[in-house]
Amino acid sequence: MFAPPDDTRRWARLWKEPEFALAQLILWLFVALTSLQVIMRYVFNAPLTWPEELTQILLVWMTFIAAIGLSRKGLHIRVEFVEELMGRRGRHAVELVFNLLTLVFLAFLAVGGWEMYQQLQFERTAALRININIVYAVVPLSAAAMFVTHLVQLIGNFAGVLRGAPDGP
Amino acid sequence: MDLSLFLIGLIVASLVLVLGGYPLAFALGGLSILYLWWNDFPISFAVVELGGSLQNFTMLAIPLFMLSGALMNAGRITERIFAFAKLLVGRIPGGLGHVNIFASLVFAGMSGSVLADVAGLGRMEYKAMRDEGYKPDFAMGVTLSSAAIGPILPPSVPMVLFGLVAEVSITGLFLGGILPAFVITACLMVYVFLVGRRHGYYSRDMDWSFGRLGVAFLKALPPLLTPVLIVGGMVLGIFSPTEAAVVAVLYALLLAVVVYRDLGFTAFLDVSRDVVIGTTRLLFVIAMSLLFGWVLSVGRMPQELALWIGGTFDSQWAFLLLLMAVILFLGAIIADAILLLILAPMIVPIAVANYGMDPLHLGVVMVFTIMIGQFTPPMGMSLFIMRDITGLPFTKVCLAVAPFLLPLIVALLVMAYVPSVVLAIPRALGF
Repeated sequence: MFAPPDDTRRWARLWKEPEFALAQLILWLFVALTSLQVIMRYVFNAPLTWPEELTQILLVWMTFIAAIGLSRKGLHIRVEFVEELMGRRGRHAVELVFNLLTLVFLAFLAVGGWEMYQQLQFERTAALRININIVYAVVPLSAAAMFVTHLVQLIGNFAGVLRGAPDGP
Repeated sequence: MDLSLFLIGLIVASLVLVLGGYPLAFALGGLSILYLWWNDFPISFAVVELGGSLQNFTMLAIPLFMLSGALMNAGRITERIFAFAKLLVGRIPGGLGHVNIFASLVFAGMSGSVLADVAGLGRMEYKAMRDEGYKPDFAMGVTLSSAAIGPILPPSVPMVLFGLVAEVSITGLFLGGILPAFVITACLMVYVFLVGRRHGYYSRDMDWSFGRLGVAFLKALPPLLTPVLIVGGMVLGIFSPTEAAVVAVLYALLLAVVVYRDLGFTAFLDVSRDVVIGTTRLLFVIAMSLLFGWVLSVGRMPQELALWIGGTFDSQWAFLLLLMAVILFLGAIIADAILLLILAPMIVPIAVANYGMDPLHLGVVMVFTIMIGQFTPPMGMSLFIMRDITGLPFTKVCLAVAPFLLPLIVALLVMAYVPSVVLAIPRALGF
């Protein structure tokens, strides 16, 4: 995460990690929109109503889109301490259990999100008049994408447990 | 079954999972959903909570402040600050230890998180100290402990969070952090002075003159002005915290791209990616803990806790001592942001109603206590970063920072039991 690679790999990372690339785009959109808002308010004395709402919606989208990448790269915040003490096979076994728990959680979130999508069809946001269920749809969409990611990891960990490894960590 | 008993059982179970390495966000989210499902609430409630959780304009200050800190780090601004600090305090016994602390103080005025300080400036500070023959323990200890100043001197990401969840003025909190930052600096410098004299850490061959100091000062002046710009704008009511954060980003871009011209486009891509990963890791956990906080309030946990505390502690000081002890203990196992998000909305109303405490005072004390909790294993992001920088074992990093907890705790007690250290500046400006 902190080691800088060479230039071509930096560019390649943009399309190899589309979640983070999209999130970066949103980050700079924040800078642009908020600057626009500051300029409109203090220079032209004509604040706009929509940039604040749009940035708030985008903040949710950025977080839940990038979360897919965090799952894929195993970058979610967690205590790494105990796993360091375990052997490779034990680590796969623990990860396997973790994957299972996560899959259940994400399945609930995706299904709950589908219910939400149907319930909130007629509510709209105040300034932009976007359907609220479209704004919130990023939660189940992200949950579904993470579900696939963790399913792939689960298979990998299952294979890891079966195959085993004679040596320690 | 008794709801809160069920809830406590769940919390204990998930603590075990989290300690075993289960991602924090999934633990908090899973816990919340399990509770809702158990009590026949529709899960779609949780999705609405999550979707709405981050929809707050002030929350946007968090990625923006992190971006401005990272931009300041990426260019060679930190080197200029270090050079200036070296000429200013490098000749005091303790040498580069003081330089390290002072540079962190200055950097604290540009960035709002411990992690930015350790990962950027800290890497350089550690290397500089090792190159001049300082022991790795001493170098790690000073680098980590001085990074704790970061979130106390404005701008500060944890204070934005605290202000958000506890509904306290963020500008007031920023102002309240100014004097305590200098108290921490003083405590650390006294400690480094004592240790430095004993180990003979002096910077002997240094070209020093007032002229050199003046030049270094001028070179470091633009970054030195950042906190003045941010806090000044907020105090005068010109900027909201989020607008102040975007002004900080634009200022950092101006310095890196136009004034110093040392940020290339590919380096820029790196910064942008690191910030996205850093902020979304945090924001994803924040979203889940906001959901969890909502579930707790559905389960009436805060109210029950308030009743229990009100009946148990009869003075503000005993309460504050307990609070600091609990945070230091929990801070060892739970990441800092989550502690703030869950504790602040529960504790602040109790402290204000039962003990007449000032929320600004409580906020600064809580944020700093949580920052100290970062330096104790097993949970402590800055410890992990230090391990990566030095390549030393995790236990060695933890042991190195341990003696430096002493000056930090002295500073904490000063700001906890002398409230005017925190409150003098905000009061003078009418907060």
